[in-house]
Amino acid sequence: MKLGKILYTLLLYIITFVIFTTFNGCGSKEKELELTFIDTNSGANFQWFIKTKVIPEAEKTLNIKIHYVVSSGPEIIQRIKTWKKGKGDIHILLIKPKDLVDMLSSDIPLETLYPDKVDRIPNITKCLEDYLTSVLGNNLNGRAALFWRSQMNGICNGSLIPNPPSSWKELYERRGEWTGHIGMVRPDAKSSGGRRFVYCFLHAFGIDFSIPFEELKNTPEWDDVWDKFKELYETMHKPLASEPPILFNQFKKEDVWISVYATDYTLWSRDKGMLPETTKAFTLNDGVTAGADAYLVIPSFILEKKRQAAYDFVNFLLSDEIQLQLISTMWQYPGTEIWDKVPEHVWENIPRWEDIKNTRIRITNNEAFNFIREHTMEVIK
Amino acid sequence: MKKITKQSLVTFFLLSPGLLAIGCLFFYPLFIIIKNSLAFEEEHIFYHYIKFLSSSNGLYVIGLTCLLAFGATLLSICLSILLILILRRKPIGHSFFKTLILAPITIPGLICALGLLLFWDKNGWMNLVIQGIINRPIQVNYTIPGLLIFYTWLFFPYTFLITFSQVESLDKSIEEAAEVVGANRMQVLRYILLPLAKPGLLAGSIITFMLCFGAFSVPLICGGDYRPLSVSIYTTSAIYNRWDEGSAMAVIMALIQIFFLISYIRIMKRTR
Repeated sequence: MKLGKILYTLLLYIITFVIFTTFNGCGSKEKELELTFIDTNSGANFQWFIKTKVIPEAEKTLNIKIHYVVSSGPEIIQRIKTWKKGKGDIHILLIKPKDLVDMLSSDIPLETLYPDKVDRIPNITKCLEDYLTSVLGNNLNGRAALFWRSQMNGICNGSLIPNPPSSWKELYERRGEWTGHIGMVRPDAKSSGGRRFVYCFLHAFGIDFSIPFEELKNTPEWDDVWDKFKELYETMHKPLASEPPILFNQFKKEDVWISVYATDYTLWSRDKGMLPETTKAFTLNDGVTAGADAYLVIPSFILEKKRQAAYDFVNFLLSDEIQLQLISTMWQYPGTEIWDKVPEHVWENIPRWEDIKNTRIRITNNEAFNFIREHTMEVIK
Repeated sequence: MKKITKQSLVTFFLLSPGLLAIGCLFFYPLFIIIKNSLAFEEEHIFYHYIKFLSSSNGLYVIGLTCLLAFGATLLSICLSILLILILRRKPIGHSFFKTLILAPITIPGLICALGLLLFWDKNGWMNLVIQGIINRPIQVNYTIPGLLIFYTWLFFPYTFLITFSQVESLDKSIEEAAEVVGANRMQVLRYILLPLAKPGLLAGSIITFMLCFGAFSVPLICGGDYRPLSVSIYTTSAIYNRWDEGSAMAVIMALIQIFFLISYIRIMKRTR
């Protein structure tokens, strides 16, 4: 066959493909009760949980079809900004507090769920009002519902450390007991666990992160606390884990006995056999950073029928059944106040909410956090 | 000047979707990376390049990357020659063994990295065997020799495959003629086999070298504090969010690779 004929055939294939894909998209009319649920918050564990547990249950209970899509916050915000009334194709979002603040500051219209829709979403009343009215110091005015509260905690192998430290100061003072067995993810890893570890340590030893970083880094306290951290680093297992699965593997091999990391992901991984069965979480009462709490929002520029279905879905996600699954199988603190219904075995694995709620730290000094991310490995060498 | 015919216009028209695709998918991202790497706001447009190349860490990272790539390529060549000498005599199970050699190519890099980490761990299989002989575990994970072993295991099949096909196509009578005139095995290898297999070795080893140079998953997972260019680019761009610096590092990496590729082509031409 001549080259010209081959190219001609190829061109025909391309044209056919383009026509087919174009008209295929236009031809299939979306069914009325199909929702698109975008998740910009979950890690691997919660993506699995939502996809295999929550969505099938919701589809069955609410008789709707839910398309679950994992995406990134900034990308979705850019997309929503371009919507016109009634033309929105994302019906519910699960987002981080920071992305929610970005949405609010971008004036993206969101449905006011509380108190306006209490009749449609009765379960929203189980969320603490504080979480519904403000987020990271910004006015929320009920435009989102709290799905879960994420928290870092101390993590230890209970069989090797039966009496874990109750504070960062105690961890530092007793470091000699665990020389070579204290684990940490590198602060410059994709996971923020390592930098949060350092941030909490600095905070516990008196660093005032409300001071602007340029000023803070020149204070004598800053140098003193870094010296302390270097001493702690001396007793750490090296090299530091490049990513969380490596840290978990170090736990599994009993190279690492103790660390500070996201409670939910660690214990879920333990249940999957990636860490020793005796791994448990404990609280450090001088403060550990909150993880990314998860908020549910409904954009305003969607069709009325979809909006009604979205309310039902939010109500379903805030139901006791789902919220209890969050804490009892995924080790994540629920968004609603259902502590009296939580099975007792949960507290043998993770600290009680009342023990940690007042010690949660928010990362407020981004410059300092960036410094920790980029320079910790140089400083401790 | 060649006249533009109707035929050549039609050919261009038919090729245009392909050209457009290459332009959009290859040249446009390349252009974006180069544009990002230039510092229009700084006093010098090549600020990010100068910053990286003049820092001790930058030179260390480039040196480490070259060391790993050259070392692993050299090991790949040695291992390939050894295996080729064994397998070309077609011992029992040679087909199975050849298939086994291809395994690292078929397994995703991340899985390979985790597997290697477990295999060479102080409680891993290799150390369990070694401890029976020398009574203490050897440290392979998170060391430069460890990385060289991992790179070699992962990328040597490319050198092996190309060289093996070259050796298999050689006329056996040349070796026989050498043996008839009194050459021993080593002399046949030194003066007959290796010179004839040289183009295959060069072609295979340059692929191995390029892959080692750009390796990411293995050094990210198994490198510990040894983080070559690819991992540094990832950290700078995706973790520190300094895409401009990361882009400059990526361009430097590409230039080094192009330099080695041109050198290789020149050597190939001389060999011919």
